[in-house]
Amino acid sequence: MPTDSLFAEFLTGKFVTIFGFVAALVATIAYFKAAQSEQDRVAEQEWRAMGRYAFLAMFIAIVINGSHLLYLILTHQFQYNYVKSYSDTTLELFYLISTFYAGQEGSFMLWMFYGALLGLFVIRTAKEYEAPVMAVLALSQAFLLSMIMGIQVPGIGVIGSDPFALVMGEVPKEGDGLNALLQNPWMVIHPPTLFLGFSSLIVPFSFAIAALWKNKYDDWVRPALPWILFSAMTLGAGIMMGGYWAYKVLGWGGYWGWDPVENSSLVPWLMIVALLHTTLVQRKRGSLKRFNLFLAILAYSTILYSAFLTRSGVLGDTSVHSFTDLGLYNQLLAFCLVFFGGGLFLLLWRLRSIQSVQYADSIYSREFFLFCGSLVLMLIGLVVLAGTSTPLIDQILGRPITKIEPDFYNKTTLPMAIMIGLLSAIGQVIWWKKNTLDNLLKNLAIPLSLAMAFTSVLVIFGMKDWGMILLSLTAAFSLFANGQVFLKVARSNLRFAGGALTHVGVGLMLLGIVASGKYDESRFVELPIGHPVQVFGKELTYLGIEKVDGSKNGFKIAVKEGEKQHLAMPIMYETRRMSVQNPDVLHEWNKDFYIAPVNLMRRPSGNRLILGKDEVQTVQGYSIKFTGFKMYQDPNTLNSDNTQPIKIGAYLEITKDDVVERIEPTLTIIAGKAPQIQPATLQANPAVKVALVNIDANNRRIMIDVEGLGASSALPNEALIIEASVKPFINVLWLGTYIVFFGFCLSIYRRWKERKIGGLRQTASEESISEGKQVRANESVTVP
Amino acid sequence: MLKNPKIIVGSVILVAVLLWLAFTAQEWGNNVIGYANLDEAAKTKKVCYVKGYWVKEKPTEANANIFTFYMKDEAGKEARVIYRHGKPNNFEQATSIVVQGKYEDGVLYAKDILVKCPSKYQSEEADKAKKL
Repeated sequence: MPTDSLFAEFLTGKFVTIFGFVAALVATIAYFKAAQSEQDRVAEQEWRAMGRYAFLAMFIAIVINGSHLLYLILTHQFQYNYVKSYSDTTLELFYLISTFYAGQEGSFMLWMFYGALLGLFVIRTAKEYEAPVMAVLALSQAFLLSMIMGIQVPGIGVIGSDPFALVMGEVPKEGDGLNALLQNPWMVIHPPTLFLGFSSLIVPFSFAIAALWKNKYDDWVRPALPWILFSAMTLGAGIMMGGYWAYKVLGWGGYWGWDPVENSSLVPWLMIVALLHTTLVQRKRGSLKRFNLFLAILAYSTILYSAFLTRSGVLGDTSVHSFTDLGLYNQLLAFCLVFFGGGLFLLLWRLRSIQSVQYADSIYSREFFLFCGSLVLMLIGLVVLAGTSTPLIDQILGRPITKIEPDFYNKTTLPMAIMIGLLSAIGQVIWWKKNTLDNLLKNLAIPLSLAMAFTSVLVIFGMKDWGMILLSLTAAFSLFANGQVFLKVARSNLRFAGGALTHVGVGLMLLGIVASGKYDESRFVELPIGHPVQVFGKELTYLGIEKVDGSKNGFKIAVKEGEKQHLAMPIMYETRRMSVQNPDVLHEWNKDFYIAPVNLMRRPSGNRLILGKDEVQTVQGYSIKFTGFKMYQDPNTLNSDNTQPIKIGAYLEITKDDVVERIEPTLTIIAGKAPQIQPATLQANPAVKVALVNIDANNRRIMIDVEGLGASSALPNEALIIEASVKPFINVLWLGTYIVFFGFCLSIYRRWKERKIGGLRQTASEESISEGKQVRANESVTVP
Repeated sequence: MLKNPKIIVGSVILVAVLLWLAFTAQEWGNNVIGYANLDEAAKTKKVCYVKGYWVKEKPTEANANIFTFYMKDEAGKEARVIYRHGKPNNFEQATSIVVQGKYEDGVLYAKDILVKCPSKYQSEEADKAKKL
């Protein structure tokens, strides 16, 4: 019975979502009440218990929904729209699972799952902060759940987009399959990592709101710090995975395109890293309290803004990445405004009651450099945000839509990147040693000299661009300065060396970007089949096509350098929706040799002519005249839907050495298939064949191929066009990203071990280390 | 008070940031690309996006390093396009194209060619099915 199954559908999909939504709202209200009932312990405990139960209920609902969708995908239930749109029966298990988050609804479900999981973790560890933090977190979950509801509300319209919606009409036997570009290991792990980073930003945000709520601004950074580190690490890892995927799979030779989707995940990351630095200042000095609250609010708000930009369809044509509009525009906007507006409002309301220590330190203090570092990161974030929002700004101002070229970002972030190198070099050294100008210069002498020597070498090798020279100088400076610090600290107290290690990684990344971004060379090369061609010091020979994975075309290219030979195989193929070009990359220690396939050219091995009626053209002594068409079908008997094959002949008069011959090559056009060509052979010279390739009946013109006239072109008829590029020292960039990641792990480890210790004790441990002493984790350090 | 190093450093920083913001604003203007048809592109000296279609009937030549063809914009005007790269692989199946380039002396010098294929996004059909 249709109504029964409809009811069953409702029960397992929408119902669970709505249940989860209501549970999230109940949790929000209960935790709100708990936070407000600080005086009444009994009431507070009761409300908190209710909040926990409600949150748990929401968690179970999310898990049910997630498992249900996963089950539907794994069992190929194509009657569900989501399953049909993103999967098919040919996908391997690994990719089949990844179709879960291929569409917007699924990625929202991933986001809310992480949020719920992190929420449970917060409940366990937040202690006195639990109520206010969870109230905010639960509210965020409620918003997320509303994105997948798909119910019609009278007066407002449809809220959310239901992942469990059914296909209209007949049950499809096969799905549309996963976009070919997503069938890659990096693309499978990139979204889960990225979304973990996104969703974790709610925690610092909620802690900041809790601080504002409770009017207590000193302590919130202590429990929030490990979360800030975690967010910075996972979000950063997710972003870099995306870059690596772009490089290896997309075939345009780059790893960062300043595309709106990339930019909108970079900006929150910059904010959270800025927050990370200034949190440390607040812990030591008690200053920058308002600044930190603002940054924490900004970090999650920019994630919500990013979701709005990329999911609402507002970017439209200007981005290759933007997802289709699911009609979530208003909801996403509301999400953004409520959280950012609410946070800002609270901050401004409490502004006067926030007692922040005035900045009293000297310039040569770590706090000053940390603050400058944060400032630089925020400015980069600002400019990237502004540029990415250009289409939105245009729409608001009613101007025609424009787009910003990537060069804008490269030019404007360059001075900032130079500052990052400089600040992270000096800042790290100042961090560990007492600060006078003399002292500082002494400690910086070696790294600075090394950096200058390094940069001079680069200039000798031909680096002329001033921007690049400065960037290389400061990046190398940071690399050597942080390396020096790392070696000193790691010997005795490894876990304290996370910061230094991360900045070593940053220096390497900047150098890698300079080398592979600015000094890469690329050329378009034509590789005729079987002919070796010299490209960038290697000998490339295109050997032909080999089928890969069934229907994909692999283009075999032999790459020879001296004695070494390697077989590269870039791939090109068409799917129903697009054309895919996968490059092949040859990795060497000092460069990557990148081969991107562009096009396969098949030249006719003879002459191609276009002739109008009664026109004569001469080739190799043969005069060819086109005298008329022959229709093999009576136009009056043609089907109205053009399904009949239509055969057409072209009357040609071929004259050579006063001998005239009339031939008639024909062409049969069949709807939906390639046209069939029936060439005509010259009786006088059977080696010569004329084929009718195309006709233009309206203009009475034909296109013919004349073959067999003798060597008219020495080039073989098949050639592969590639874009070959050399990316120098790109491995330095990847190495840098790994080192940044390890640095974060070390820092998280250290801060997790010290999560119960206050800020003053931590600083005291650092001071012991800077004097060369070893500090154990739970050792009590006398506080001066 | 003026001798106070903090005031000096603070002002230096403020000035530096303001200069950089000014630089940013200028670069913004330089790097903005708008949509235009060929006539408008001819008037402005800058890089624009020109939406249009490939004119199949006119001569099209593709080599490794240079690809020339004719395009017609949405207003119906035609122009020759020179693209100093190889022909994009799916060019011939494109339902429409967007050429990013500068129009000079009757020729559109293309920096990039964006090819629109019949069904752009994965879920387009799914969403059509959903909209009741």
